[in-house]
Amino acid sequence: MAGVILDRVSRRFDADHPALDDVSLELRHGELLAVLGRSGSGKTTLLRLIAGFERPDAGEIRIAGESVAGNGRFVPPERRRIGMVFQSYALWPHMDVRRNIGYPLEARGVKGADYDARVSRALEAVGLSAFGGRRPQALSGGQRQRVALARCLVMDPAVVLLDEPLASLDIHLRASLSQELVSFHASTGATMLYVTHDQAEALAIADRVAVLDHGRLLQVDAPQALYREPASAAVAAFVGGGSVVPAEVLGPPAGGVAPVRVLGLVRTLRAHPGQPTGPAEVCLRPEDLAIAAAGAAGWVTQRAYQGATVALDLTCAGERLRAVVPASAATDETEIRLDIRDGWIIPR
Amino acid sequence: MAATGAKAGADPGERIILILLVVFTVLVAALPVARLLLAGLAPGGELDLSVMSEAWSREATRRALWRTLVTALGGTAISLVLGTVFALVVTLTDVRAKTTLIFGFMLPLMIAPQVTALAWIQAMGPGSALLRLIGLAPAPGTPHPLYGAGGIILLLGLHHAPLVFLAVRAGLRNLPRELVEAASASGASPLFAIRTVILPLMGPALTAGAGLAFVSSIGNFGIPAFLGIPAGYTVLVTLIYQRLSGFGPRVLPEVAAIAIVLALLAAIGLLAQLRRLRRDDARTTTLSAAAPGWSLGRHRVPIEAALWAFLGLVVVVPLLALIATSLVKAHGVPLSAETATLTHYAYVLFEHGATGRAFANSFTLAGLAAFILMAASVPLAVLADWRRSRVANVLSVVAEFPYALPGVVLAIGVILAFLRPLPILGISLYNTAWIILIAYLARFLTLAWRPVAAGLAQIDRGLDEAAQAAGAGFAYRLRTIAYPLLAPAMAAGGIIVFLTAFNELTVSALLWSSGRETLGVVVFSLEQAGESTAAASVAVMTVAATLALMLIGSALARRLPPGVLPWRA
Repeated sequence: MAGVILDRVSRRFDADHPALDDVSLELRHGELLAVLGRSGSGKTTLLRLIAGFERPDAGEIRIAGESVAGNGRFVPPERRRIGMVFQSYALWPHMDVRRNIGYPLEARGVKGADYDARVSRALEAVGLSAFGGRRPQALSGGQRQRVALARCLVMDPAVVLLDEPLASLDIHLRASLSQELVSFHASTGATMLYVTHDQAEALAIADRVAVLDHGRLLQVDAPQALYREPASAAVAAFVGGGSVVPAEVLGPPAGGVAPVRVLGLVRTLRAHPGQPTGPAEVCLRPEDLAIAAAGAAGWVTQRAYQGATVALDLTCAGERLRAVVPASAATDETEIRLDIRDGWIIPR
Repeated sequence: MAATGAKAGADPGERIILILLVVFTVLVAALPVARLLLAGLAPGGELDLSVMSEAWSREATRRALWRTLVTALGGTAISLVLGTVFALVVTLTDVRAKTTLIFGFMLPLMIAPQVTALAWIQAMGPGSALLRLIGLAPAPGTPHPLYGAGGIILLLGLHHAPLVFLAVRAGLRNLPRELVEAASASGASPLFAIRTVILPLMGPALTAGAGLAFVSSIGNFGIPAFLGIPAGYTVLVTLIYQRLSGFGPRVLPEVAAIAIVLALLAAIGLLAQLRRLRRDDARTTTLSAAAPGWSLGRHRVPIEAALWAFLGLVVVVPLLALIATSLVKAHGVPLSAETATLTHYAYVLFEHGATGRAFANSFTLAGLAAFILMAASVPLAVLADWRRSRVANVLSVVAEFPYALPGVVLAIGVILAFLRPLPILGISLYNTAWIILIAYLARFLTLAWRPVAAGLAQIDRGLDEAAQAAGAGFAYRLRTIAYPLLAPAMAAGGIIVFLTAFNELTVSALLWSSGRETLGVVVFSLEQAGESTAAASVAVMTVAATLALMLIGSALARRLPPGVLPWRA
């Protein structure tokens, strides 16, 4: 069963610049989907549309099979069975941890033993049983995130929406809290939508990543596919730091690869089954390039030592490239020969 | 979840509360103002300026307008000088005990003008118990030195200087520190920097403060009533009062025509304030860090002494005179151990029926107004800010008008709107206490709303959205999230409303009826009847109540957004 479906949803705050433009997206039951985009890409609008804090100008939104927006219907947030984790966590300072967590039950009139049992279960699930009587102000950043998650969990929501919950934290806390999120997802099986501008975070925790840019959905795929097989030059450049260079496909693809001329070399690179011959673009990841005895002539413009590896900024056949090579293979010379080990022909 | 299939999806509770607020604001704020304009400009339903021209063809009206301008402008000039100097010294230098200095300087604004006037009359007059004590009283039989234009100008200036102080202090706190430091680095002495950099940059704040002082001066009733009426010096506000109390509702069209001109004058002053309001969003205001904190060095003690001497002279001495008058056996007798007595207090509390009633009336009216407005301001602020309701935003602007207009103008509007029997019920509110309550609700809504709006601006809107995501409807969120979080700001608004209503005379002077006296009315009537000692006793008790409430507010201050309590500026 589908968790959330967006069907051709648009939202515009002013006439010229739609915040969200004709976006269709399916959030599968039980998956953790990351929505990745720069600031202003429309990712927060997407989240607030699903939550019901914004109304779409066109299109339809369905949660757990029921239409919540579109076609003249609009279900307000309080009747959508969503859980939401805010960037600030939005814990109420005048309530203790137990009452914060129990609030969704309280709002639905759940009382007595049932209320107590469900709040205790949620507290236990996030390992905060001993902290029920505390005020949120007396908790650490990590504990606050867990309270916010428990508050979502307590009412068994159709989907949990997370609005950059790690963005305001320092780097050490980020690492451990993103691990907590993954194990929370694994242990509860909750359907989660996670909005972030940090691609490393998105690739690390999500089952699938949706890339959003200027209100348009560029690609939705598993992290590996997104990295290895970007659907467009924009995705290739945005995710994973790839170089996009012009090329010519020389023959039809067979067995997932096709012959291609790139940087003056002829190589067999991975390709989409329907890839036509002729002019194309190729995505070269930094580790796809290697220094070799023979190959295309390149000039090193910048060299950054990274320990086991060395990052090189290069120009080759008029293109700017980035390569990461093992430190043992690096030379101090400016003029080198470059070979292509792997690459992806961007589908047209 | 989607079972109701609501087409627009708005929470019905939210809509009902918004409609209630619209009805409330239209009834108490918009309707009286509209009725006033109608009565003065179009009494027969069509534009008809005959009432207007008749009222203004009278010599008395034009003389009163002239006197209003003279006293208001004179008072504003005094306020401007005092308020600016005090703000500069307290904000920019290292004088000690700033909190107490500010409290003392703000006190004249918090004490009712009629009480201030009474206190100064007692302090300076031939019958002054205090001056007699030190043998400096004017000779008996000479006219009181404060009666007439000079006294009115002086007291209006002292009473409204805190308004200029607040505006300039806020401006100084927003002044970028670097601009002053650059002047100092260029070799400017503090006085030179004040003259060449700080004061020019304070232009908008000075205009705003002066505008506010001017509007408050033209609308002030207590001071010209106490110092002008005995000398036959009538301004517009006292003219309206005399016409209406002398001839009753049949002169309503005429006084409405006068009131409209008064409202126009106020509008001029308000335009000056608007310049600042546009620049001054509470969310962008930075606090304290901007003040340079100049060290006064060896001048500190003399300057502090001057400040305290000033406060002693304009705040403490008049209050002592008031207390002395309330304690002497008979008016005009010097105060000594033998002549001191508490009989006047016993008299006003237990024998003089009107005073006891007035205490009950003022407490009830001010309490009800504070309670209702506290309750109404939270949904209004939540709808306007968190829920981005345009209607609520318009309401919060409409709510400003009854407070910005002079009190008599509003009072006439309320009479016009509620003189005729209410539809359906068939009863008239005129000559009941309810009409005073309606005027209070209209006039002070914005006083309750401002602290709540300031408090709300400091709270993450996510706290409301989280509750909404958790399944809570609008009314439920108000009860569990907004009201508890805003309780301190609400209490501050409530205290300010209570204080203002409790000390109020301008509105109730026109709206009171026998048995429905307010404290302000009683002080005024007692003094007019020549019972100065009794008037002083009532006044002293209201000052004590005012001080107590201000101190309660100060105790709350730690939990409030900065700047909410004027006496903690």
